Amino acid sequence: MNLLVSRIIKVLLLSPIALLTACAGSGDGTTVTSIIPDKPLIDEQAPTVVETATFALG
Amino acid sequence: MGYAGGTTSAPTYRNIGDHAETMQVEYDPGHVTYEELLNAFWCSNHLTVGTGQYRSIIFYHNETQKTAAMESLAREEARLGRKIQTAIIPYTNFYLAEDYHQKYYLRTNSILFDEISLIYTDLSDLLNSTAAARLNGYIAGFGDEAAVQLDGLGLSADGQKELLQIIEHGLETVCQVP
Repeated sequence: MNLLVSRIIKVLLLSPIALLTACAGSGDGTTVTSIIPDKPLIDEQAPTVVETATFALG
Repeated sequence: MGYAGGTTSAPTYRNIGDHAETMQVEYDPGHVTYEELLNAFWCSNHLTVGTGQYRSIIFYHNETQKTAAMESLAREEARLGRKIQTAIIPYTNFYLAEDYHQKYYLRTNSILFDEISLIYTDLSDLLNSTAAARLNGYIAGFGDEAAVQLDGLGLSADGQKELLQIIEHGLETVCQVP
């Protein structure tokens, strides 16, 4: 576990993607599946076809 | 939020040129119609004679929107019994406003903004998020309390608790033109 903590501290200086990559497996049997929260369900279900409206309200 | 309707390039809040302050919405026509958005526009519109950056404009993206906008303007003028100074013009460009203008109300709640910012580290992703848009509306006091999908907004238990406190103060539904 100490190894995992060390790796997390190191990659905190990098990008969130690097953080996730580093946490993919700790090597000591501890599983860290995700640091960044899941995308909201509402956004997962968002429509792919949308229309655009543009207004200046005054 | 952004700027449109002018001719100058790369407008900013401090150098808006001849543009107007503008909002752009991407919507699912299966859930909300353009006519409903027009109703919300007339309800939210100040209907004063705004000028410069505060003028009132409907930017149409196609002929269907143009026809709907013209018809809704005529209905609104008939309802009010006077002319309305709202321009209906073709959409050309939309310039995104500065970051601090985006999801303005969401930014006022550090608990919810921090949570959604953890999910969407890139502002463009945050702007495309329906969850962020709904949170922004709820914090502003708008929405349908019965339709709030608490579990679908990506919030932690603490975030959900914060949102519940906001909702308990009461939400207003988007007004409808009679």
